[in-house]
Amino acid sequence: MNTATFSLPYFRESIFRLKENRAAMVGLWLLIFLFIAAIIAPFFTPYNYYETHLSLKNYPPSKEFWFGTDELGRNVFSRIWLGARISLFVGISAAFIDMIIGVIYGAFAGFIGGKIDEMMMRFCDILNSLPQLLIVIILLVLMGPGLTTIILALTLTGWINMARIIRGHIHQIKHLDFVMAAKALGASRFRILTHHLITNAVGSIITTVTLTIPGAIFTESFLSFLGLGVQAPMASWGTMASDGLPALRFYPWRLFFPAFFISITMFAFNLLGDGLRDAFDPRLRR
Amino acid sequence: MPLIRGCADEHSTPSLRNQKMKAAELEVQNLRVTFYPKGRKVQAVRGVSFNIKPNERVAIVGESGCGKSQMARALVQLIPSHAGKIEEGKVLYDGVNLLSLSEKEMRRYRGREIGMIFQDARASLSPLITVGDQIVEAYKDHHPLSTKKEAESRALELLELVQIEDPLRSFGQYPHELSGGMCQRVMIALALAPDPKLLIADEPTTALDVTIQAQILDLLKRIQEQFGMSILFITHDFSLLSGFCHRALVMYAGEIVEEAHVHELFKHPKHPYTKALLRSIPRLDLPKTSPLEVIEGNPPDLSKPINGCPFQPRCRFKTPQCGSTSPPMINRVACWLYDPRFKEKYELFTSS
Repeated sequence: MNTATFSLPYFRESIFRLKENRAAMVGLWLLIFLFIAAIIAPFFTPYNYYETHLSLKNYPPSKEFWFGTDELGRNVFSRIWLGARISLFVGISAAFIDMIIGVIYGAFAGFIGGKIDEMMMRFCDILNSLPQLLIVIILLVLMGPGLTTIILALTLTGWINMARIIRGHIHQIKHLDFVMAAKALGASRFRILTHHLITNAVGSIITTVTLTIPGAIFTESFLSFLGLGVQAPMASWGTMASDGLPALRFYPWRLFFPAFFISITMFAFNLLGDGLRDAFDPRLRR
Repeated sequence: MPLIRGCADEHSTPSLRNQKMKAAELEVQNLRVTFYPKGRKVQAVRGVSFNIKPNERVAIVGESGCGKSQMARALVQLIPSHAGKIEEGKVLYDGVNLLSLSEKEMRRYRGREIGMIFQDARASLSPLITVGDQIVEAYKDHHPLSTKKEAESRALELLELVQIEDPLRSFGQYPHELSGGMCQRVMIALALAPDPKLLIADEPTTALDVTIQAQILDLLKRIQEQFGMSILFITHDFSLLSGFCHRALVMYAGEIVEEAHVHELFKHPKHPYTKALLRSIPRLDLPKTSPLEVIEGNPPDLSKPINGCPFQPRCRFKTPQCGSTSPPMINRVACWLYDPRFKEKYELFTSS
C-alpha cells in the first residue's frame, strides 16, 4: 500500500528533499524565528519604539533595556523588531513584485524570441543603465519618502535581473528535445510555456527570489543609511546602523544589534535559497 | 495499491484490445525542406514522395545527414521556423494537406493522429515531471472529458502495455531514475496515450544496446498490430529492417533512391547505393583478414546545388547521363541503369 510513491507531486517531493538538507533547515528556522519575533517580541518589553528616556540615553544592554538604548534613550530592543518588520516587509514585497514582473516578462521574451525578444531586452538594458540612486531621488521628490516609494524604487529596476535570468533559462531549454516532444504530442504553446519551460525554471526562480530578498533588504538599509528611507520615529535596520555608526567607539552595541540582525537575515536567506535550489532540481539528488 | 491495480485490470486492459481504430493513410508528394544556417542554403529534403498505407510498417533508411529526420519532422510541421522552411510539397493525411493547416489546426493532428517517438528518449521526457504525470497529462490533453482517475488508470495500463517492470513504481519516478530502455518504453507509452493512427519512430533504438533494441522493436511491432496503426520507422541500420518492416525506402542526400519490399531489397537491391550499403555490412562468414567494404567518398554537400544523380560521384556504374540529369523514378528506383540505353552498364551492375 505505497500510494505515497504512486503519485508524489513534484512540489511535495521537493519539500521532502528540503527537509533533509540541514543547512537549509537552519536558515528556514532562523527566518521563522525572525518572523515570529518581529510580530510578538515588542510585547515582551514595556517600552515602545518611540518613547524617549533622555536620562537613560546610550545605556548599555541591561535587564531593563535588553539591547541598550540609543542617543534619545529609546529602547533598541523594540526598535530592532520594528526594523525587522519593515526590512522583511520591504524585502519580501519587493522580491515578490520583481518575481511576478520578471517571470512574465522574461518568459515571454525568451519564448517568443527573435526581434520582439531583442527589443524587450534592449528596453531592459536602457532601464538598467539608469542609475538606481537617480531613480530613487526622482521618486522621492515626486512621492515623498516612505515605504511605498522605497518598494517602488526597488522594483522599478529590480525585476530586470529576474527577467534576464528567466529569459536566459527559457532560451536554453526551449530547443531541448522534450519541448519538441511535447509539441509533437500536440501541446499548445501556452501549455509548453507554463508546464515545461517555467516549471523547469522554478529552481532558478526560487533561487533568484531568495537572493533578491536580502538584496532588497540591503538596498533598503543603504537608502535608509543615506537618509532616504523610512523617516523617524520609524526605524529600519539601515537607519539604526546609520545612527549607531558615529557612536561606534563609545557605544558599540548601537551598531552591533542592527548589523547583527542584518547579517543573520542575509545568512538565513542564503542558506534557504541554496537549499531550495537543490530541492527543486531532482537531477542534483543523490 | 490493490485498488489501483484492480481498476487497471478490471475494465481497461480489454478496452485497449478492442480499440481497433480505423487507420489512416499518408501520402507525401514532392516534399522539399531547406535550412538557412548563417545565410547558407542547405537543401535537407529534396523532393520526397511516398505513401504509407493503413496498418503498414514502412522504414526509411539512410546514412546520417541524409535528411530523414528532418523529413519526418516536416510531416508534422516541427521544423523550427527560425531554422528552416518547408519549400513545397504536400503531406496528405486522409486527404487533408497538413502543410496548408495553421499552427492551431495542426495541433489537432499532432499526438492525436500522428504520434512521434525520438531517438534520445530520456532527453525527450520532461525532466521535472514524473513519468506517470507526463502520460496522464498527454492523455487528458486529448481526452478533455476524462477524470483524473481515468487518466491515471489509463497511464498505468499504458505503462503495463509497454512492459515496464513494476509500472506502479515507475509511475512516480522521474526520467533520470529510469534506464535508457525504460525511458524509450515510457516515450512509446506517451506517444500512445492520445491513440494516434500513425506513429513516426525516429531512430527509436539507436541509443540503446542491441538486446534492448530487439525488445523495443518487438514491442513496437506488437503494438502496431494490436492497435492497428501505421508506423513510419526511421533508421540508419539495415539490420533492423528485415524482421520489422513491410516496406523500405532508401534515402540518399535528401532524395528517395529506391523503394522496395524488405525481402526484395535484401535479395535484389536495385540501386547501386543500396547494393553498396548492403555490402558494407560486416559479414561473419568471411575470413577475418578480408577488408571491410566501404563506399568511397562522402555524401554530397547539400548546401551546393546538385546536378544529376546525387550518388553519381561515388558510383562505380556511372553512365554519361548521370552527371547532368537526375534520374526519374522508374519501377521504384531512381537510377539511369534501368534506362535501356545503358544496358551494358546494367549487366555489369547485376553481375557484380
